[in-house]
Amino acid sequence: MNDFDYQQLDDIIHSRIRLAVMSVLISVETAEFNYLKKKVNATDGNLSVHMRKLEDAEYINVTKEFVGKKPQTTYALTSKGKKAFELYVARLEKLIGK
Amino acid sequence: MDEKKALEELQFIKKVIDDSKRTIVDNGMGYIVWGILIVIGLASTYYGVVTQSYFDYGYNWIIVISLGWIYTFIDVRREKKTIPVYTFSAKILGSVWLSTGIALTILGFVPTFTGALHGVYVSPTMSIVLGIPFYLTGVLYDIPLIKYSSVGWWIGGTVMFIYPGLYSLILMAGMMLVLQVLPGIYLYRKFKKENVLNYE
Repeated sequence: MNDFDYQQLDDIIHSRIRLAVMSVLISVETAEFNYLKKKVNATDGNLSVHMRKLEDAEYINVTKEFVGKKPQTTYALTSKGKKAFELYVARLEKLIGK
Repeated sequence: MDEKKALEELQFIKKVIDDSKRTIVDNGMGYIVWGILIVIGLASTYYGVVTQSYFDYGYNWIIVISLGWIYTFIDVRREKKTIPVYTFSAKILGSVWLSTGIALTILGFVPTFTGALHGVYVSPTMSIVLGIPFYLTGVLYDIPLIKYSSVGWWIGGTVMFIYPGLYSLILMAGMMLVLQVLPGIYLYRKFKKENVLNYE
């Protein structure tokens, strides 16, 4: 029997879409909203809600700018977000006894 | 959460990371534009030598290399504004190609102007150096065609060093088309297929 307490898992990351977003952002420097939307297979509204949660937790940085006449929102992982993601993965590995 | 779910989640994370790392953000146009410009430079030099035209070969190279750098400068500025994802691979490759371009520009002009390198050895020198960024690009983007094109550069460079001659201008032009422009077209088509820039 594993004595792992699942409540130790970070609730902010522990959601399929937010986990996918964090996984993408850990492997790139920056990613644009539409790119993330395609990668995590989410709708605009759904992804916006999840991105706001990550932003509120200070796990991601947001940059909004205009490219020509089109608005562009770009995201990057913060050092706090990187640490949280690494801790999340470490706890998953602990759960499987790795 | 049980162990099975945790394992699934870890596999999911690994898959997303692997997939993201290999996102191709290079549209291959740099390979095509530079390749064609160099072919023009090589062809005009060959024509000048064969017809014994008394023009300074340095001028045609100054023109094509300047055009190449102007294109690169515009492309980098455009890319910074429009690129939807900036991967670490893209960052590394951007630096490698930029430094290679600077090194090749220096190698192409300075040693021949100072007399340190005979003009006939410029193409093999370029060829050997070009193998490095092609190999790296192939490895980081996991594209065997580009990875193994480096072998072509190294073999071609070795042949031109062993058997120096006027033919090396034509051989180099052929290598540019086959080992640079064609991989550039392949990259362009792959990029279009992945449609990186067109997420609405």
